[in-house]
Amino acid sequence: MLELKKVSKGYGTPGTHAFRAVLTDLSWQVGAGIRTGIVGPSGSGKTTLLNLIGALDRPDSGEILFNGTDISSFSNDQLAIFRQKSLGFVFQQHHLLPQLTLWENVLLPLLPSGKSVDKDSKDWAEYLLKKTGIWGQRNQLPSQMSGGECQRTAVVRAMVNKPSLILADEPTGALDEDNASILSDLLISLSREEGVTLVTVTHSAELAARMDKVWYLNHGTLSPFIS
Amino acid sequence: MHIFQFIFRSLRYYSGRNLLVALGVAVSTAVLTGGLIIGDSVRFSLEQTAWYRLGDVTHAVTVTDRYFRQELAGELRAETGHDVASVLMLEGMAVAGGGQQRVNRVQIIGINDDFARVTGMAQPFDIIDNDVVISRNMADRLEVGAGDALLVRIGKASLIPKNAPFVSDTETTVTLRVTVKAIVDKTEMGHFNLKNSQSAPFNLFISIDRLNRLMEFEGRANRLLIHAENAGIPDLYSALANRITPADGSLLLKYIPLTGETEISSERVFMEPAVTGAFSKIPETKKILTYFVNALKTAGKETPYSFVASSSGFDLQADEVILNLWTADDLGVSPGDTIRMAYFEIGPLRQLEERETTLRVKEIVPVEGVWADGDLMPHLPGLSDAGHCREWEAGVPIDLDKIRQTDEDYWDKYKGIPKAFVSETLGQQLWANRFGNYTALRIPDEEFSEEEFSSVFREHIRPADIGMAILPVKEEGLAAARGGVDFSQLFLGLSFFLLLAAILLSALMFRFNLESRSSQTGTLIQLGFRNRQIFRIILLETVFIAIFGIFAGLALAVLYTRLVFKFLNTLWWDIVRTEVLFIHIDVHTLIIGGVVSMLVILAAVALPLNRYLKRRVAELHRKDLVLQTSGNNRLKKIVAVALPLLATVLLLWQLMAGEGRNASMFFVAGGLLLPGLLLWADFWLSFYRNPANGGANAQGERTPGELTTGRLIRRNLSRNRGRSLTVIILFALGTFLVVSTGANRQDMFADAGKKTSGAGGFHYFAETSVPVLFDLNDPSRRATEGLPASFRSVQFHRVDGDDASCLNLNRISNPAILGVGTGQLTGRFSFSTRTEDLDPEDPWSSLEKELPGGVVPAIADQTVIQWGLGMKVGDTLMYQNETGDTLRLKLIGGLAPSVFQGFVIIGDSHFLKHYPTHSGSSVFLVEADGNEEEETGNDLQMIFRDYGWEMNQAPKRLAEFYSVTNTYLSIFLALGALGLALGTIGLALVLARTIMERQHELAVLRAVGFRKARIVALVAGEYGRLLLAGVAIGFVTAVVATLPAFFSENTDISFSTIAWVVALILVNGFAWIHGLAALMVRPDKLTDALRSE
Repeated sequence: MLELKKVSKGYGTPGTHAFRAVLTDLSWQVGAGIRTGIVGPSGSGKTTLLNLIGALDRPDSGEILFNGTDISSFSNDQLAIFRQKSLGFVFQQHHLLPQLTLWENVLLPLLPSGKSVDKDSKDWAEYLLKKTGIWGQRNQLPSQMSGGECQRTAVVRAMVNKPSLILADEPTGALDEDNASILSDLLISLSREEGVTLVTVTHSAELAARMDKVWYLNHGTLSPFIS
Repeated sequence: MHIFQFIFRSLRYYSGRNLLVALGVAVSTAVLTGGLIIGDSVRFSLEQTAWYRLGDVTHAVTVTDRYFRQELAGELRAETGHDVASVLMLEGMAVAGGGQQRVNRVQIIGINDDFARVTGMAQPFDIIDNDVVISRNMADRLEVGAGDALLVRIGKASLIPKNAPFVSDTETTVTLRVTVKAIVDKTEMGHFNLKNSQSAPFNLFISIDRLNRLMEFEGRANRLLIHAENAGIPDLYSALANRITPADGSLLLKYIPLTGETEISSERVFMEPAVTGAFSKIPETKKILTYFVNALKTAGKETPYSFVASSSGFDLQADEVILNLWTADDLGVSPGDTIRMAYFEIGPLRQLEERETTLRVKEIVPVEGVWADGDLMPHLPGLSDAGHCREWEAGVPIDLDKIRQTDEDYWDKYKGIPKAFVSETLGQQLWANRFGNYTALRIPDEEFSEEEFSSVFREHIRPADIGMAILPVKEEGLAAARGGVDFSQLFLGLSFFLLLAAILLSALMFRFNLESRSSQTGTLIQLGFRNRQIFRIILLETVFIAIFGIFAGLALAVLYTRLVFKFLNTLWWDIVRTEVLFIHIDVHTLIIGGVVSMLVILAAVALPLNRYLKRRVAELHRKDLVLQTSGNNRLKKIVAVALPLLATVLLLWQLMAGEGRNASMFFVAGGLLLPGLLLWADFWLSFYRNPANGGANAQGERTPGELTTGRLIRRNLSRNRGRSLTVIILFALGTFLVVSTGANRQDMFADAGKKTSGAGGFHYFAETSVPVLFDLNDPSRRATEGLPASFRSVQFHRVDGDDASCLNLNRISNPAILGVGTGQLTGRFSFSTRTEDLDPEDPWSSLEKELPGGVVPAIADQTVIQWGLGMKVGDTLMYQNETGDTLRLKLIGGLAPSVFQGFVIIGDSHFLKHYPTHSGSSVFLVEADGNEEEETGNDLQMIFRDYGWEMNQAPKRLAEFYSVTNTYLSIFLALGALGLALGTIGLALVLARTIMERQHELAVLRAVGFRKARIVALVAGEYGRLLLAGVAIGFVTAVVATLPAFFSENTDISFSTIAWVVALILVNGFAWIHGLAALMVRPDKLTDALRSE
């Protein structure tokens, strides 16, 4: 489903002292429906890798194939449509919009299409919220909810477009142990039920242990992680 | 959920921050639209004033010191079909409350029912006898109401020019008690005025018949008011030319039985060359000039005070005389003997110079037949109708001691029969004067009828020959209103910096919003929103904020205009006696103001927004995201060097230009220097971004350097360069505006005693309602009038015109002309602009020059030339002179602000050449001796009170005029203060936000041992530098821009005041910086921040 071919990415001006290579000729594959964890030390390039997969950044060289299509050659608009239709993001911070209620935050990914939100989408959002146990708080603002509830909402928001790939960057990093556990369960169960591919960058050994496969990223190269 | 729902949620949620953006938009909209509304309103007010002045009157026929038949109105109406009214307009004064309340310079307007028709009034005033209708401002000033009585003193009008030789000046006014029938407002012609002025005149309407009787006239008028929409001047002129009769030129026709001739004479005594020229074309016409001489003398004998006739009918050489027998006997002379003839030559202000000529007696004739022709003596009231010699009122001093019984006997028997006869040549040589060259024409045809008289008159005399001019008063009034100073441009130009500050503040607030919501933007991008969609969402949000700001701004604009007008109207009320400016709100202007404001704000936010959306999502999610401006590109460097360089070149060029320097060039130099220095400030901030800059080791090599507090401050400043620069710009703009307007304030009392000041060293400026016919400096006249010897005066002849002072916002073309003996002004006043025609040593003497093509040199206040006339020195003004010819006045010099504001000054010789029959003076400058200023002022006030003497301290008059300029400056100073307030708001917001963003950093500083005071000092050090940089740039550029004001003698630049203003700006800034820093840098909060980190 997802394949990286000789992907390189660095920051700064190439050829100068200021240039810092993060990923070098990285090749990697993720199969459909597989839950993958990426671990590694700080500064190893985990977030950079996730941003490249999430079409939020472009590689300096190499190809990123999604279902066989090279997304690195997409225009900005095509990338935006790709993100909207195929991807869901969950981050360490929930990044809910403080001015919107929980319900509105969840429906936000449906807006870029320009069409009004249909009943099916609403039913699906309702189902997800009920499943995550926060349906009762749907009319509350993020500021009125706990961190765990906000993070669960972020997961629902990531799922509302029925994406085929969810990218999670330290999804439990800002949560206490209980909430981290609840969120891990939620991510695993939803991805399993819906057959969604999950790529998670995490420092949490607990979460990494629940992945189908775990990779270790260091010095720009990925290798299978053996705990 | 819809996109608009999202936008409205955001607007509501971030309402506090949005309000600050809206505030900036509101201020910029208010300044922009306010400027436009002020422009509209001023134009509207001027047009309204023109309507109030004239009603439906479109044209006016005017004469100066002349009177035509009232019936001419009806005849012109019949000829043209337009409404025409005759009016007799004189000047006077009114007294009420037993002399407690007095109003000078009152327009006494004699009208009949035609006045209501021609002005479009609903009802005529219907006034008879001693009923009068007065204007509201006059009633207020006199504190009278309908039914109250007034004492009115009216300048005595005379068919004979008042300063013509041998006209008595004893009766200068006529007094009557009147009853106020009604009081009229501006809508009821209370502001009726043919002169283009915004000042409301004091008007008193009286029956024209009653006014004629008071003046001992019969059916006379001196104005024709015409309501003729779209009528051309040539058509009206030709209709007028068809209808004028000899009576309109004050000509009389009478049969002289004694000689069998028909005589044409003038009620004006002396007949103008144009008139005598026209009738001289009739064959065998005799031209007569009879004069009143002081004495006919021979050795040891003298015949005092005699009429002597000159005529083309006498067969005499220029040095010969025919005496009648009585005189020959009296003098004891025979044919062939010589006699001397003494006579007065009379100057412009009745200055008398006795001259003598020697004549040889050619013949002695009996006092009978044609030699006993009493009609040769012109009709001189007070002289020709006197019963005895001792009753003579001849307008010249009569030495009664010289009058003998035999003289009385002659007068008793022969009256004014001439005692001597001289040739026409000699008569012309000795006695032809500016009022005319003959006293009568005799046609040897007893059949010469009235019809022939009229037809010759119409054939040869144009209305202009008898001083008639047709003025398109309405058209000129409206054109002057529309052509006046463009207040929109003026206000927009001068509030440009405030506008810029408000836009900058809006843009800054907007940027803060973007920065604080950058994480949201990152999320939207992650969720699949395209950049275009996000751009649209943010822009739409901005549009809604801007709409709110714009509506608030439009309301503020109206309020701002109201405040400005209230300020101006209050200030001007006492001077112009009415409300000058009315608010006029045009929906189109509001739309333009709103749309332009919207476009400006969208342009101001679109650029940073576009740059912002190019950020990576990871960057957008960072808490400390700062939107930096672009770096130091090549173009910026070139501009940063070029602008100050250009400013320096301009400055040096102007400094070397000496007297010829142009004030606006200094402003341009300052204007160029301002952005140049701001660019340098930007470089200064950028410089410290590089850690290697600003440090050097002991060997002088560039190194990151040692860490000091100062270095830490500089590095922090450069971190948020855009914000730091905004603070500098806001303070630079505010300081520039405040210092530059403050430096231009005029203090007219500064050095007022100096002869080179705007008061010319004179203590008083006075005007009279009734002209003073004599010379105030003449010792003998001072003795007879009881005038003190403690003063010197300069007297001016005046031809009324439009008000060209800065109290009149119209663009005028014919300001009042003053004629003066220029020698009296030598060394006085200062010139700010000059042409090569102006003598650098003695500028005033240049007024006597003869310029090519008959052009007359003139001087006016530079402000009048520039703002009132919309001209420059070297340009020419066009007038119609008394004889209907074009008078061209070349402006050869512009005075620095002076008491002459509103006038154009020419030399006396030119004045009297073009306005020959003008009599007396009504404008005076008075210089009192030593400490007798107040006493002299009081004496003059008392002695000339019946002339309507209105006297002001000269510096006070100057200050009054420049109070208008100072008012504008006060408004712009207030705008500058508002700019500084915006700067302060900007500073406070930037500071507060920076402290909030840097809580963690400051917490670390505290953790490593910085005390609170030191942290506050660190923050204050950063922002204090920004404040100092902004104020310094604004101050330096303002000083450059206003350098001419520092050189000006009339601008009392108080360096201490400017220092105080700058100190106040700094103290205010530092107070905010320290206050906010002390308030926000709280140890407990810092500890929390560290904990959360």
